[in-house]
Amino acid sequence: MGEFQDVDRYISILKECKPLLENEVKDLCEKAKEILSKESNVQGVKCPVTVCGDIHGQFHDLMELFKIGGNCPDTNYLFMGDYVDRGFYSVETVTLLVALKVRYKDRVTILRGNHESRQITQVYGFYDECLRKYGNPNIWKLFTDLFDYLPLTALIENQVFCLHGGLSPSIDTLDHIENLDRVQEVPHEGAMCDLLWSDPDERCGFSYSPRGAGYTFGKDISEQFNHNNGLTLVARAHQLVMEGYNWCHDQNVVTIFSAPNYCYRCGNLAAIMEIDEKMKHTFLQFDPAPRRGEPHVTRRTPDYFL
Amino acid sequence: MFRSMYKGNLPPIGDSNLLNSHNKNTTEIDDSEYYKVEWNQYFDNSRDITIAGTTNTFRIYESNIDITSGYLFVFLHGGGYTSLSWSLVSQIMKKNEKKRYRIMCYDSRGHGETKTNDNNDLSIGTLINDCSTLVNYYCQEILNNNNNNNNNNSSDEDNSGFKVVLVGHSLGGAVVVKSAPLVQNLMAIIVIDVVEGTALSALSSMRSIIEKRPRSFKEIKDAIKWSVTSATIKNVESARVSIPSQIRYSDKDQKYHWITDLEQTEQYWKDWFTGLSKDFLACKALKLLLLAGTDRLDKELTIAQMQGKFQLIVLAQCGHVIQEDNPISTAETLLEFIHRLK
Repeated sequence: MGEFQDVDRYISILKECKPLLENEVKDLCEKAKEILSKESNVQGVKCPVTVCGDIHGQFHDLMELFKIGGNCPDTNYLFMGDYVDRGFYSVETVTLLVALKVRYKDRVTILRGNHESRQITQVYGFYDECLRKYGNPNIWKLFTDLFDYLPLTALIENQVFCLHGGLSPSIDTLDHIENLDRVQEVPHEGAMCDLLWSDPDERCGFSYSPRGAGYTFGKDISEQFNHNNGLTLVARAHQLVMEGYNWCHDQNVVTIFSAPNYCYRCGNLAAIMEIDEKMKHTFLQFDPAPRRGEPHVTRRTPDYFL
Repeated sequence: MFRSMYKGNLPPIGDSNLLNSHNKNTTEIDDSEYYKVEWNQYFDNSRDITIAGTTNTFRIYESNIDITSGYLFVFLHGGGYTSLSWSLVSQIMKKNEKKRYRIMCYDSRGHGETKTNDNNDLSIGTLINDCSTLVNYYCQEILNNNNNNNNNNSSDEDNSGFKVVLVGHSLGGAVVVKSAPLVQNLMAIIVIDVVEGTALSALSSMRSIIEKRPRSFKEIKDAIKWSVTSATIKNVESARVSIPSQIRYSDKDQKYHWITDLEQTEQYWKDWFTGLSKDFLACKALKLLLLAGTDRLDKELTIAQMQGKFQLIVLAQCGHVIQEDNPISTAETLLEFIHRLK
C-alpha cells in the first residue's frame, strides 16, 4: 500500500476540509494528469455507479453526498463537472475529488464542466479563493492546467451517456466526440464548448442558447441522438433543478444537480442517481448539510447608486 | 462573450493589471487633468425632440446617423447621470467599422438638458411612458424620413425600420426592463448593474451615499475631481465629459449644483426596482445582464441564471458605473452580444 501512502494522507486531511500544501497539490496534480491523459473523451464506466451533478465548492454538501451515496471506494462515482466556483470551498472540494480519482482511478470518474476553465474561474470565485488561501495563483494554475485533461463525457455500459452540458449540432455520434482534441481551454464555440454548455429545451431542433454559449436542443434531437448511438438515456448536469433531478424529452434526458441550496440561497434540493448492477436507476435527494463552523459571510452591500 | 469577460478581468496579481488605457491611478492624476470635455468629441449629433401633443422636450445624442435600418442601440442612464455617461462606449462602438449600428441616448426626465411638464415626476410609470413613447417616436420618425426619401429617389432600401436594443444602467436598467413590452421591434435588452434584490437592500444606505456627495462645486473641475477621487467614476476621461452634464451653474451663489435632486426622488425608489427580477425574466426579448460582481445576483436571478435563462457577464474591477469605468469591455460585450444575434 506504499504506493498510495501520500494520497491516503492527503485524503484524510482534505476530509477535514483543510487545504493541502502547495507542493502536495503539485504532486497530486502530476499524478492525476498521468491518469486523466490516458482516459478517453468518452470514458467507459461500469455499473454499479452513482452519477452526480454540479458541486460548486459546497464542500460540506459533498460530505453529505458521500454519507447518502456511500463512501469511496465502497460506492463507484461519476461526477459530471462544475466542482469549483460560487461555494466557499472550491479548493478543498476539487482537491478531494482529484485525490479520490488518483487513489481509486477505476472507481471514480470526473468529467469536465464549463466551470473547469481558466476564464470562468477568474470571474466566479475559484481564482480569488486560491489567492486568498495560498497567497498566489500557483494552485489555480496547477488545477486549471489539469482541467484541460478531464474527459468530456462518459458512457455507462454503452447505454447511459453522461456529460456536463448537452448535445451539439456538430456532433451526431460518439465517434465524433472521440475525435475531438480535448486538451485545451474550453473554446468559445464549437463541439467541445457545446458539450459543456448546452441545455435541453421545449423547442425542437437546435437554437442559440440564451446563456451566450452552446445551444438549446429539443426532444427530436435527443431522441435521434439516443437512437443513433444505441443509448437509453442522456444524463447531464449544468442546470439548477429545484428537486435535484428532472426528467425531460420523454425520459430521453435527465438533469442531475448535486449542490443543495445552491449559492447558499436558492432553496433547492440536491440529488444523485444510483445505477445498480442491472442498470436500474434510483434517485436519492438530499438537503444541505447542517452548517457548522462555516464562515458567516455577509454579502457586501453593493456600492450602489440609483 | 468570453473574450470581453476575459479582457475586463485579468487576474488581480499586480496593480498594473487593473488598469486599462482609460484608467489612471487617481494618485497619479495632476489637478490639471480635471478639465471639461464637450460631448461632440464622442457623438455625431445632438438635438431636442419634442413629443407631438406634449410639452416634453428630450435632449438626445446620436451617432452613425447615416444608418436608418438594422440595429438601433438606445441607451438609458441611471439616476442622477445623463446621456453623456455613455460617451466613451458610444465612441468605441462608433469606431468599429465592421459592425456599424445606430446609437441614441437621451436625458431622462429631470436629468441633463431634458425639459418636461413635470421634472419632479420620476415615478416608474412616467419613466416607462417617456421611454416607450420616445423610442417608438424616434424609430417612426426615421422610418418616415426613409419612406419619403425612397419615394423621391425610388431606391429600394430596407423599409422595415430598426430592430431595437435597449441598454439601461441602474435606474435606466429598471426602466428598460419595465418598458420592454411597450417598445416596438424590440430585439434585446441589456441591463447594467441593477438587480432587484440587491438594489432594494441597498436603498437603506442610498440616502447616506447621496448625503455624502458635495452639494455644490465652485468650478466644474472641482466636480470632476471629486468624482474621480471619490472613486464614483474610476476613469477620468469619462468623468471629463459626463460629470459637467450633471451640474448647472447658479447665479444665486455662483456655484455649480446637481441638476437632479435625488433626495427629492426617494418616494419613487422602491417602485423603480420592485418586481424587476420577475419582469426581466418575463421579457421575451434576448437578455444580457452585465454586473460589476457575481454577488450582486438575488435568489430569483441566481436560479434563473443557473437554469440558462439569460446571459450574465461580470466585469470585475469596475464600480457601479461599468460603462464609464471600463468602456472598452462594455462596448466589446455589447458588440459581441449583437454579433451572435445576426
